Amino acid sequence: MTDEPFNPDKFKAEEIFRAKERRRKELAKLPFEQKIEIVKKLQTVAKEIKRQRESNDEGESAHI
Amino acid sequence: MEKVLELLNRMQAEGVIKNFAIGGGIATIYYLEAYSTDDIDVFISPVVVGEGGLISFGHIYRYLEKLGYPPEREYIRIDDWLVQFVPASESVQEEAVASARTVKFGGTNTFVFSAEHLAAELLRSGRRKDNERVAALLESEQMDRHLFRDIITRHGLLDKWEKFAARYELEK
Repeated sequence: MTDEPFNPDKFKAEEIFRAKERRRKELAKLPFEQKIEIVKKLQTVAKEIKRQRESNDEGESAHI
Repeated sequence: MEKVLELLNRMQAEGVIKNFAIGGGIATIYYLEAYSTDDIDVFISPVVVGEGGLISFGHIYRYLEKLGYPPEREYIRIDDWLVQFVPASESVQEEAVASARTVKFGGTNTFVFSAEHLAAELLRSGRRKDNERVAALLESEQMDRHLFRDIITRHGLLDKWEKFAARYELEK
């Protein structure tokens, strides 16, 4: 792991994957309550995507 | 979610359930990063097998229905969560309940599978998403690999482990 700042003009792909792994580990360390809050937000997003998709499907079938 | 946990504790105190522990997605989230899930798997032990080898959770469903939580198919919706009661019918599940960690959520204590038992149970279950979680748990700093090895050996999961280790290029 490097402490050098990320340079978007010049970087290796592996730096991105390392950063992802680092981020996952940071998120894993959050308190349980905070993780459940994130889950609840994700549930809301998932419901909204589902609602939008169903609404789009209805719109498309109305045109057939 | 605290309401669900309070209700589980109340059910235990009133003898509706004896031992329980949370496994599945919510237990995984306890150890790893959060991801989207809306169900809470509550493993119940001991499993009472009735006539014809059938398991009955009728008393649990009736108890919750009286409190205003009707079933939705095999789930019960409590406080926006779909709670599923799962009989700890496999030996690894039974041990996972018996040796669950006490975890505090807000002001409420609950029981969650240990990381090692959770990984062993996910390995036993063996769906693709379960295997991915086993791999993530093994990579995490939460796991005692010796204990995990001991659990999978005692519960006859070594064959599954060898296939899993080969697929994920892990040391067997």
